[in-house]
Amino acid sequence: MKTPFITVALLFTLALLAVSCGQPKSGEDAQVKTLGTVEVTARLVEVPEGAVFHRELYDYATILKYEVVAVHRGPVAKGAVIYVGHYDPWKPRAEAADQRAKSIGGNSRQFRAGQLQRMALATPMDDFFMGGIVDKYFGKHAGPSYWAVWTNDAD
Amino acid sequence: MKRHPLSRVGHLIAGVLLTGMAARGADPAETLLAREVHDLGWIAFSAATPAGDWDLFVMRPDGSERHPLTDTREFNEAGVRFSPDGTHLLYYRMPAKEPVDNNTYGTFELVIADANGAHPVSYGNNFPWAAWGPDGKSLAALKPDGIHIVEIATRKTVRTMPRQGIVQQLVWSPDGTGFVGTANGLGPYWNIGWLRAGTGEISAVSETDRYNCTPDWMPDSRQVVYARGIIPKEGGRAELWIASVDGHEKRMLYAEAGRHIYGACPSPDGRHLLFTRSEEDLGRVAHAKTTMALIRATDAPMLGDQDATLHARYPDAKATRRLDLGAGWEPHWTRFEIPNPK
Repeated sequence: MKTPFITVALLFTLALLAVSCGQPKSGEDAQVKTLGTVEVTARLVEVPEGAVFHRELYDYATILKYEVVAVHRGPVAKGAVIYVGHYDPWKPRAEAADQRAKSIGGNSRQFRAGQLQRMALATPMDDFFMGGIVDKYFGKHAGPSYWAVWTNDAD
Repeated sequence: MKRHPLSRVGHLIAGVLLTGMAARGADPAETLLAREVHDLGWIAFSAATPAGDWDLFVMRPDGSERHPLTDTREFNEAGVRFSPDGTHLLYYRMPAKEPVDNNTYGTFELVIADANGAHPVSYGNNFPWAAWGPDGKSLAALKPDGIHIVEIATRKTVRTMPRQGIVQQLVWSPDGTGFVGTANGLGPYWNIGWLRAGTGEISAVSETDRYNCTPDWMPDSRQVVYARGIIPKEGGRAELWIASVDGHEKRMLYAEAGRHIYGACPSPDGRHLLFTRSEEDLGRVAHAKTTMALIRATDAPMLGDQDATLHARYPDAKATRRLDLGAGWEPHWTRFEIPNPK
């Protein structure tokens, strides 16, 4: 008996879905591989209370704490804890860029504790952003904070 | 002493204004305050025009003799400051489609003009958050790589120093020894920082457990007025505070339950305090319903409305004796006369 065309198409689609769902997202794209001076995949340790708030009147950056899982570019050690500034963190990264932070972006839509993100970073943050910064880790970390230029979700 | 040509007209208008106050039953204290400040120079400020853009205006400190300083439909003008000798203005202009914003106005095109708005000269976009130097011949610009001291005549940077986290609203002290501005790195939020011009050291003027902004120097260069802001999600309103520049002594000057108080500016002799009252928080000013007012410094601390919570916080605050000055934003005060406002 001949297999109906619709059954073949359905099986093919299911197979494609199985392959794509099972493949981890690397977070790699042209921007994350080229922007900034450091490129890492890192796990967001937490989102402290009050670090991310939505107030249309304030454009600000917030400092978030990450543990580096993989280093793709730049002088950062795997396993290091780094502090990264994200501009207007309540916005999806693709919608965050404006006059103050012109070339930022990525496909991450929000920040959740435990999530992995592949980021292109620049440092020192002060050289790239002149605006208000919320730093819930103030006094608890030394060294530079990184400026998140491009932020993609990764698995 | 030669009388200013507008003086007679000004007094007439002031008379009409005061008569109007009396007609609408104005508080005699308000009328007295208006009389007290009328001759104390001029106040420049930004305000929305009927066309929807923002222009610069000037008025007597009692709100009379309101004149436009600019008249442009294609630009918004903002952040006006008189030079220390009262002969010039600096301000920023931006395309009219750009919103006027407390936190960004100083990033646009710097213009320096005569005090009456005549002869405006563009200095371009390369002098962000410019502040007059005490000699009026130099200015400080706040750039990503530091504070640039610029000779106005040549537009050349004669000195740079690290900005130490200051990001906006830079003001140079009248005695030239330091700067204040809104700064990161002094606490978890943005705060008022005092940067010593000599050593480059910075320290917090304001409390560091909340957002603070729009600082200005008192004439003695030892105290700073500023907007003591809020903590997002915890509500409340920005209040007008004063602190010793080392941050050791701080106190409330004026607060309201129904308004955010920003844009603090002392009178040139420090005896009066000028500020803006916004129904909405700033940021963007366009929809904030922002008006200006002044009080006598000796009448502070003062509450601008009846509110049990505020009264419990400030039981010693005095009753309202405020002079309302109408719609406007980011006012600045000079004691000098302005020759023929346009």
